Amino acid sequence: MQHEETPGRYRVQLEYQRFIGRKIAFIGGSLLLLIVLIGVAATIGSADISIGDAYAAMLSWAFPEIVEADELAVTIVFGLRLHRILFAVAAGFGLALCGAVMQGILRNPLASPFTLGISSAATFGASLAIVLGLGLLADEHLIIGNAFLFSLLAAFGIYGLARQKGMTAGTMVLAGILLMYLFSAMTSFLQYLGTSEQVYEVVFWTFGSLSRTTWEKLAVVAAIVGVCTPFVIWRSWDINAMCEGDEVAKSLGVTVDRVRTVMMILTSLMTAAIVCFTGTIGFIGLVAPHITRLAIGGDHRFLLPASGIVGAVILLGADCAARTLLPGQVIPVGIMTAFIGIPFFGYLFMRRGRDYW
Amino acid sequence: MVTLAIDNLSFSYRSRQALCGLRFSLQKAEILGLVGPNGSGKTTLLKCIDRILHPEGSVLLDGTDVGSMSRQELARSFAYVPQSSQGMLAGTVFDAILLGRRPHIGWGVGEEEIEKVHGVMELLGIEELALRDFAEISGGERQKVLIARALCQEPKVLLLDEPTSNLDLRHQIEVMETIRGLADRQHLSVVMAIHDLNLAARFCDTLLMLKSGEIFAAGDPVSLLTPETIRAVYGVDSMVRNELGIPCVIPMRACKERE
Repeated sequence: MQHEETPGRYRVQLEYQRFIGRKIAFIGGSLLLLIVLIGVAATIGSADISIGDAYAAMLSWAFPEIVEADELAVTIVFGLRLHRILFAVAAGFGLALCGAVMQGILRNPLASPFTLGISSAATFGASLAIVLGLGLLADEHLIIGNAFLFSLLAAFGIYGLARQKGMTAGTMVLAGILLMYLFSAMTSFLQYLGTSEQVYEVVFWTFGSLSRTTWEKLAVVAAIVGVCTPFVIWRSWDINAMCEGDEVAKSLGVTVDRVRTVMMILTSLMTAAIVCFTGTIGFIGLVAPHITRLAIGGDHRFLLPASGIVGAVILLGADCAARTLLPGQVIPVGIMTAFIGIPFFGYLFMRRGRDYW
Repeated sequence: MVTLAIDNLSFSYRSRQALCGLRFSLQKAEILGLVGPNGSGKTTLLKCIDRILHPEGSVLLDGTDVGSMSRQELARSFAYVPQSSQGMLAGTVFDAILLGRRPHIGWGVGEEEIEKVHGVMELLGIEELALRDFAEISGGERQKVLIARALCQEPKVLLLDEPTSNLDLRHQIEVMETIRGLADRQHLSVVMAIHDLNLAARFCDTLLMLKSGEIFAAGDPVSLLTPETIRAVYGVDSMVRNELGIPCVIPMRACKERE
C-alpha cells in the first residue's frame, strides 16, 4: 500500500478531505436552513396555514400523484406567497454572489453592487422616472426600465473610466466610488426638484422592497441569475488567482483584464436585474460574502455558491421578520437586512477579526 | 542546451526607457542572477520574460517565441514569484500552494493534485504548515510557500524576484540552497533578481549586471564581481576577497562622484 509507505502524505490528504468536507457541510447546512425558512415564510400572512400544509402545497406541484395538498393552501401559497419567497431567494443569492465576485476580482473587502455605484445608478434611474417621468419604456415598466438601464450604464462607466487609467483593481474601485457619489448627488438634486409625494416615492424605492414581486419578474431574475451563476462559479480558480494580485494571476495563466471585464459585466447584469425590481437592498452583497468567508475561507469554488445561499437565507429571513415584526405592517426589507445582518456580521468580525482579510 | 534565448529586448514605461536592447541566454539547469542597483530594470526584465509586461524584441523558450504562446501555455512554462505577496486569499497554506496547479487542472481537485502539492511541500520541508492559515505564517515560511506554489506549476523556467529579501540569515541560506537543489536535481532553469552580491556569488552560475536598463557586464561571479565593476555600477568603493573560490564583496563607502 502506497499510503502505508508515506504516512505523512496520507495524513495531509485525509486532513484536506476533512477540510473540504467541512465546507461542503456548511453549504449543506445553509441549504437546509434555507428550505426550512421557505416553509416558514410560506406560513406568514393573513390566512393561517400550517408549515406542513405549506410544504405539502409546494410538493404537490412537483409530485402531483404522490402528494395531496389542501386546495386553499395551494391557492394561497402559489397565488400570493411563493413568488415573493422565491424572489427573495433569487435576489439574495444573486446579490451575495455578485458581492463575492466583486470583492474577489477587485481585491477589495468593500466592493459590492452598492459601494460600486451600481445601486445608486439604479436609484437615479428610478428617480428620473418618478420625478420627471423620463424613461425609455412606457407606463408600469418606466421605473424598472430606467433602473436597469442606469445600473448597466454605471457598470460601463466604471469599465470605461478604469480602461482609461489601466484596468487595475484599484482604478475600478475608485471609478465605482466616483460614480456612486455622482449618482447620489444627481438623485438628491432630483429630490430637491420633486414634489413631496415624488420625494416620498423615491425614498420608499431606496428602502428596497419585495412587495412588488410577481411570477413574471421572478422569471426574469431567475433566468439571468441562473445563466450567470454557473459561468461565474466555473471560473472560481481565476478569481482565486486574482486575489493574489494581477501579476501572480497572469503568471498562473489568467487573462486578468478579460476575466475582470467579463465578471464586471455579468455581476452588473445580475445586480441591475435584481435591483430594478426591488430597489436598493445592496447591503446583502457586502455582508453575505464576508460572513461566508469567515466561516469557510476564501476558496471561491466554495465561497461563491455558499455566499449565494447565505445571501438567500439573510434576505428571506429579513423579509419574514419584516412582515411579522410590526403587526399589520411590512417594514421595507432593505432596512430589515441591515438590522439583522450588521449585528451578526459584527459578532463574527469581533470574534475572528485579527487575520481576517 | 539553451533553454531561454533573449534578443534585443527593450521595454518602456510610458516615456521612460526601462530596458534597452538586452541580449542573453539561459542554459538548462542554470541559475542566472540579475544584479544591479534599484531601478536598473531587474524586476521589469523578469516581468517581460513572463509577458506580464509586453516588451519589444524576442524571447525564445526552447526555440518557440514566447509572444505567440497563450497565457495558459506561458503559465506551464514560466512561474513568477514576486518580491512581496500582495495576497488576499483567505485560506490555508495548502490552498495557497494548490493555486499553482491552476494551469494544469479544471474545476475539481483530484488525489493526484493533492499528491503533487504534498510532494512539493515535502521537498521544501514545509509539510507541517499544510493546514495553517496562510496569513499567519512567518516571512521565511511565506517565501517558501510562494516558491512551492511556483514549483507546483511545473515550469521550465523559474523567475524569482528577490527571493531572500526580508529573510533572516538562516532562511536566506535555506531558500537559496533549495533553489540550487532544484536546478541541480530537477534541471530547473532559474532567473532571479538579487541584491545580495555575496549570496549571488555563492549560488548563481552566471550573473547579469544591469545598469540603467542595459547589460553592463555578464559572466561568472569570479570574473564579474571586481571592485571596478562594483564601483561603476553601484558607485560604491569595495574590497573583494576570494574565499574558497567564491568572491566575497565587502562594501566600504559610497563614491563621492558616481560614474
